Amino acid sequence: MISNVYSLFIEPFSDFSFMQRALWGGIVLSISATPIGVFLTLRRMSLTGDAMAHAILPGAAIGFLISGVSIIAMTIGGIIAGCIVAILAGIVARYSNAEEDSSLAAFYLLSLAAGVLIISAKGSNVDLLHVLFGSVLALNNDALILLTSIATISVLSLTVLYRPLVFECVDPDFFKSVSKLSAIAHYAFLLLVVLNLVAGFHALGTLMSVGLMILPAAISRFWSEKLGVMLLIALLTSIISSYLGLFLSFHVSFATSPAIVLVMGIIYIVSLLFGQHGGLLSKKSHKLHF
Amino acid sequence: MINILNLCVNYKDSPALDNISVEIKKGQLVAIVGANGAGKSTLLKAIMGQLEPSSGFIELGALTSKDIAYLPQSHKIDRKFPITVKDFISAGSWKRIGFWKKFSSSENELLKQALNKVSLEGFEERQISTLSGGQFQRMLFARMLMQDADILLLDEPFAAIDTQTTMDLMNVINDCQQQGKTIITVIHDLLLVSRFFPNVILLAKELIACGSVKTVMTGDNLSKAGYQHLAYISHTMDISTPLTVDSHNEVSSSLPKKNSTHIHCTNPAHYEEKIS
Repeated sequence: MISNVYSLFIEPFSDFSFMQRALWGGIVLSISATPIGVFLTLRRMSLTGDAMAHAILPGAAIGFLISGVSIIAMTIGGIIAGCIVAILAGIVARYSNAEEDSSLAAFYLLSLAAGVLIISAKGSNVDLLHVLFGSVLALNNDALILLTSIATISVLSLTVLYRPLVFECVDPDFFKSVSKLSAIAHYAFLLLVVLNLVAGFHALGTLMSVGLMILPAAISRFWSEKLGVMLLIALLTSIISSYLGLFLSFHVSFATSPAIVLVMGIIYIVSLLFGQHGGLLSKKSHKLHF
Repeated sequence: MINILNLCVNYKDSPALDNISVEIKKGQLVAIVGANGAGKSTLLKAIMGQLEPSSGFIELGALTSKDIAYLPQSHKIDRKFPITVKDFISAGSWKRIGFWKKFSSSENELLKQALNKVSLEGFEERQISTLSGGQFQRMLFARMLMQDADILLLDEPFAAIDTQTTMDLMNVINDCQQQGKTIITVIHDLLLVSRFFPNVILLAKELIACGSVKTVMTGDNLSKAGYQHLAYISHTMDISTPLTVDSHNEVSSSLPKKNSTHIHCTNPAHYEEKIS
């Protein structure tokens, strides 16, 4: 019995190095991206995150065009494209009369179309699938080093930025009055979002990488009203989903990144129904409504 | 002292303030009054240095923008953000603790005093999302007290809160004035202004009038500032009653009951469309 459990849950990861790498990638990404995701949702910027994730695609595609499936070229391309769209979105929000959500939707459709066009002009369908949905089961050393470095940078920066970010989120007018760091905190945060999306892109692909940020954050909101606890819940959800996604992918041959995102999706739906804070069927939320 | 000379501020290429000159002495309690879009909040932001004047200048004398505490309009604050009252108020000590420094025991002491002054003892660990409108406003005052600044700028601190809270917080303002702080408050409710504020700045993008409440709040001036509907009832506001704020700490007693029925009709927010 115990040996059965062992062979079911542990063996795939102890016997196959590609599974170990994938799990390592998932854990590192979870540590790095989920706190960013929590702040992203608290700032009601989920859609911005989604648009930026798509924006990385043409950048990575140009990297691919120049030097094939090269991690460095695609990373640099992705970061540049992500930053450009982050800045453009900021400018549009400030100076144009267009609603922010519709301009973001416009940006991400454009990016997706441009990216797919560039890749299919030179590469095969396999390359396209690789870019869109990632290849968490084929993470090589370079990719793992990149993911781990980005996670380190991200966690350290977020520790430094924590206080200003919180104050900027709750009461931006007040924070502007006490500190000139308001704009810096905002753009540094956007840069961290781009870095994490690029990291996520290598493992999960452009279409799925934002899922690792938004879904655990959305789930955590249903279970706690305390920021610290929310960060912890999001992290655990993300790690567990990564494990279960890989597990399903190994045993049932599901495509890996959709499997990971779908596990999160199921947890999200359960939280949506039974979550203690705002869950549809929870007693507390009924009290709030009536 | 705050000296504002020929101040013009543009907002998105249209003038928000036009040629304002005002002198506010140290320790004064000043109300900024004007219709919606009259540039009241803009004036506060210009004093803080957040908005650059297109011409003219603002002098703070020996003080700098670091000596200013600001109480923003509460509807701009994310009230659902998962943060405790204590953590929210601790933002008031940003200038002393910044990014890194520990929230020391002296800061804790300040926090307790601030909560005490606004009657929110024991609320430290409550989430801000659970506070009522009045409690929330008290918390904003506590954060402002934490800043321990010489100049206080308040943007509509009494919008949509009950009379008791308004009176309690007016007492806090009077305490601050007695400590020698300069206080500038944007206020919509003209009745409150005429009762509790010795000095008034009346704005309608340009300066209509400034000075003591008696000389400023005349029917003629109010009419120029876009309060046409009020000019004819201004006599019912009984502006000539001497202000009791300076001599008495307790201000709640000085609000006459017979006039309180006028509160809703003296709120110019209701006449937004007419003015714009």
